[in-house]
Amino acid sequence: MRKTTYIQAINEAMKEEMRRDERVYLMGEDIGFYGGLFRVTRNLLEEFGERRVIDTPISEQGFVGMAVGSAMAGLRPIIELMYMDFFLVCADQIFNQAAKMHYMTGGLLHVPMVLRGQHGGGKRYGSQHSQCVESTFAQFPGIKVVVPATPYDAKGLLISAIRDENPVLFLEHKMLYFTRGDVPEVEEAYTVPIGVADIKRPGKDLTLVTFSYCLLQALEAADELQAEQGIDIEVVDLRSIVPLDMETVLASVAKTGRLLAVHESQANCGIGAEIVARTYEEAPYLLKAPARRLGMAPVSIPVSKPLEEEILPWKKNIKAAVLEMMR
Amino acid sequence: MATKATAPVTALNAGVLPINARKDIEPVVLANDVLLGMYRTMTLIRRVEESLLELAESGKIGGAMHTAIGHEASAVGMAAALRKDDYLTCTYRGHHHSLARGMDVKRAICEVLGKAPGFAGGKGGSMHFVDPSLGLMGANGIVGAQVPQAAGMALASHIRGEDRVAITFFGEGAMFQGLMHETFNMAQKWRLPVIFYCENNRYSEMTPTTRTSSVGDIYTFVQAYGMHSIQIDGNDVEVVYAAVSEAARQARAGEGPTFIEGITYRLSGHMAGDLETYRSAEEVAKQREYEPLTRLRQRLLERGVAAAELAQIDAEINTEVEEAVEFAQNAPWPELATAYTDVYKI
Amino acid sequence: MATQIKLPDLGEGVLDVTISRWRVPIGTAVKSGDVILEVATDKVDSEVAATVDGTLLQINAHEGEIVPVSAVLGFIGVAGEFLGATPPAPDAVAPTAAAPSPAAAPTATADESIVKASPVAKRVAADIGVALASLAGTGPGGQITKSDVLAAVAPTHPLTRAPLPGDLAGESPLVVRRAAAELNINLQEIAAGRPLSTLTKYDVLSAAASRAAGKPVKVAPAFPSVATVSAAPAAAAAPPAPPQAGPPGSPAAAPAAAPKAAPAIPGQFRPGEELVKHTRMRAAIAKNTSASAFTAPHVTTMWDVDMSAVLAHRAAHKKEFAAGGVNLTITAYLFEAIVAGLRKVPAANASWSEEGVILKRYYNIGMATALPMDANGLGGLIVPVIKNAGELNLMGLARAVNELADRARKNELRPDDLADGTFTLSNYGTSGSRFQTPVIVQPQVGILGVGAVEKRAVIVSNGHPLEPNLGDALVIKPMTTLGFSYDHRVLDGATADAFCAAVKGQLEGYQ
Repeated sequence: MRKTTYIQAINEAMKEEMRRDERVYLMGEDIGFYGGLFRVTRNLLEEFGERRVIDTPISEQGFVGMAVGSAMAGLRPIIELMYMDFFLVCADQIFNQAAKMHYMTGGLLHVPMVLRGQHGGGKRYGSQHSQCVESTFAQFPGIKVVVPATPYDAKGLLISAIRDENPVLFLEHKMLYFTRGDVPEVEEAYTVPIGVADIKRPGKDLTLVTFSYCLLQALEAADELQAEQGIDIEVVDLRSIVPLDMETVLASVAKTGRLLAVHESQANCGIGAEIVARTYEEAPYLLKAPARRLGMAPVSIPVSKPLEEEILPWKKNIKAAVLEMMR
Repeated sequence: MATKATAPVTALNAGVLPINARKDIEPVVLANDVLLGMYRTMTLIRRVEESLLELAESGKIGGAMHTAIGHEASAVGMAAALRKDDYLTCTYRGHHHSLARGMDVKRAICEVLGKAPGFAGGKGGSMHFVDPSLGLMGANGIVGAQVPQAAGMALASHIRGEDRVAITFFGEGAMFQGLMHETFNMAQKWRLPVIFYCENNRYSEMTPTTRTSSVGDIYTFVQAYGMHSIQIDGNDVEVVYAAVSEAARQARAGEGPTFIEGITYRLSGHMAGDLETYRSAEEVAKQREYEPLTRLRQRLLERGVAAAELAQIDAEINTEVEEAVEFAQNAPWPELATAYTDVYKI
Repeated sequence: MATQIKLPDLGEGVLDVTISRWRVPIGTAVKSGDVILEVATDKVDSEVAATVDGTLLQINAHEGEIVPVSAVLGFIGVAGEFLGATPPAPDAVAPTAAAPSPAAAPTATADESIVKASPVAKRVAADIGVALASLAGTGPGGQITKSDVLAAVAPTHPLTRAPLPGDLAGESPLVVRRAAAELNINLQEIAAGRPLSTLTKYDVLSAAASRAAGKPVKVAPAFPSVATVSAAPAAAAAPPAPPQAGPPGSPAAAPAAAPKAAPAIPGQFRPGEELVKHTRMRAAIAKNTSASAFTAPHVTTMWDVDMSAVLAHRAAHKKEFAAGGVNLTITAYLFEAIVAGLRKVPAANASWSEEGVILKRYYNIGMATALPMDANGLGGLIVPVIKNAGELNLMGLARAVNELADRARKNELRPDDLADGTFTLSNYGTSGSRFQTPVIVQPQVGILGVGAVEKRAVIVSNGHPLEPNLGDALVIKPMTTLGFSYDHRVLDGATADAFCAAVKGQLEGYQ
């Protein structure tokens, strides 16, 4: 094991897969010559050349559409969207085209494409550059949505995403980029399966299901609640939104009897609401108390620091929500 | 109910017949047997489209179905000029491209009806014709969406170092979608082996294109990107064949994309059920004189083919299409469980 | 049209049962009267017989599940009817027998005799192939119970569900369709002829896992089914008082007064602390005694009784009774005395209601019987009832006492033996106690406790009852002390004492 940053882990995943499979190529704005706005794709142009690391003009609809077509023709593109917020610009190619291609053609065509980019608040980028939208993505059948929170999970899941035959949205939280964690040595190949959650902190009083940057906030909240209130929280890292691993969630709720789902995307119609609904659908008798979800209130994200901190469903909000539930 | 609108006075090309298109390409004179084969295919397309319209009128086809009666030459000329492994994408008015490239007629009609033997199991329908074994990579329900996809297929060919080309068909109405221009720029910049074929039938859905376009001749658009572009008589199958062949040759040679504006006319309504209140009957009747099937028939007769031989083909095609329609009508509905399959490739 | 399998009347206060064991598999032809199912309640095990001839078509309530008494347990009918083309294959239905469990159940070993397990547990374990030696018992004295055995096997989860009726039979639930779409599974193919409304998410997960592995793989839920969730929370959630008990507005709203099952923030166990989970019986005793204590205002009156007449009578008649096959015990005399007391004070053989006191003209006297204590000091309690004690003479009563005690010892009491009591005897003298304040068995209004019979020094007076006089003598007599707890809503000190006086009179009056 060695420590890498989240960014390095993603870079490694792409590099290893591009070496292993010549069908894999990259497209995006500023990714080649500049190495990517957040340097996630640094040095890849030097190693793999212009044919496989393509700098695009600012034409999301165009190049995402081209990626879809190239995937239909047998390549495996990894497309970077500079900010996940920009998915709205090319939403048709992602959700109307890539997501539906396999179904509409009765299985004749498929789109093995990865669309990766960073999302989330905390750096005061404002409404149009700070959104988490995984809940929206989850509404479209045909794509997979992956939200790793640690360097280990990021590398393992990106490799799985690249090898997956379906379009995969790979969401990196900007606050995670410089976090560090243990990753196996380069010689030790590994993957993390898509659709499998992970217990990041075992506990017995309450199951807290979350993902992405909220995971780190939840772990801090859990430690503080243990020390301050003696509440022992089990933190489940979903790692994938689609497919959603309800079996792990329910096994945890069987132990604790309490469920709180936390995410940074909008609470309204969000993935947390879906988890609560499925718990009541599949095993309501496991609950000792009503299950709840916590997400962002329905506001756009302000730039001013105290305002941004106020609205994000991070440690303070998480602790408050847990204490409400444990009353 | 609907009142007849007066035909717009300023409608460009409403009175302009296909032969007034620019002659940027010299037509190729094809051998009679080749032309007869083209005649057979064009007649097949015509009969299939007419049958589908009948089926739609009798309520057997739901949703939106767009027939390409009058467009046959662009499809048949193209099919002869390209290889089976060349990629093709097209619009929701795409039956003719698929049939021209050899799609099974029975399965095509089954798919439109939503029956199980359809190539997509009844799940795609009229707007999503596809058969990768013939290079048919998808008709598309979203205007223009298929264009960057075709450029992506050309990119794949380019990355892999192959000489396959991609051709994409779209109407002139699609020219005003932003992603078209994004694609033109990237295709030209990267010299992708893609052919952009605009079937200009003068109407963007129900509105004459002149009402909404600041530009008259469509082919001039791409000159801003430095792309080679031509305007042709899209109803002359030998002209289409020549134009597409040349564009393919250039693409395979690494000379980059070509834009072809093929002037044509849509004889059927925009879709099944269109009352065509936006154009006069006289206009349509006049355009019929220049429609591709009639012109090819005349040409064949001029070149010494017997009328009886053409009649023979007509009769065979009629039978073939009737049988296909009956097959499709009697075909089973898809199993209900298939509603939930193929969301993911697993 | 298939016939529903439902529970027979199991007596008042029984709200749910645990399904212990289906005696026959699906597809078996049964005759009316054949025992097809064993169930367990808080108090006894019971058998369910088929009510019609036919084939067992469908099992809805599976072994280990707790179901309400009104539940439809399954269906008997004509083979092939109701479920469409073919009934489901037997191994698709038996949840415990065929399914490989994640924690593989060890096979039964030869020497099981040394393991402490209830007879039912032993039989069930042998049937489903679980080694008793591998289990921890939660019954009295660490005894392995039936539910311990069932819990050790793969958690049961309904692997088939009853189909929806009519043309809805093919409508699978959303959770199943969602799984099929996510995993690209054809529901028709995996249903193999069964109606789609009988599919579960685990059918889909198993099919996907099998496809990936290239061989059959069964996916079980990662969490327990409702059956293995402990009874305690279910009991705590149930209404605390049986329907006929106190009025809805009874003091301090008994439900609210019932102590919370767990503190708001569950504590951890400190070193030296250990949790022993409740058995059904313990949970029921807790529930019932709490409810009684908080519904009926208890007063206990204390009476001393000279038992020499009874002992003499018994000595004189014991042989004669034995010749009739009856062991004449003190208990029989107590019953006779109680009946005498109840005849004198009918209000002691009644129930309270809002509208008035419901007098009962029949005498069903219960006999509180202790079950053995385990190593942790936890025991059990069962109250078999002698029906129509007023119609029995001493011989009849003695015989009835014998039979009930025997059945209780052999764990063969039926629900009928425990139901419909109107008054209860608590003979705690047998465990050495002189005096207790017993808790009334709802919905009765009195319980007579009788202490140990022991030699005591008493004053017998021939003269003035209170002033010392030459007629006083200090004698040694076999005495017992009655502890009569009564419901002060119905009885008062005077009426309660009138009952006790009658009991005393009867006991002291034997010739």
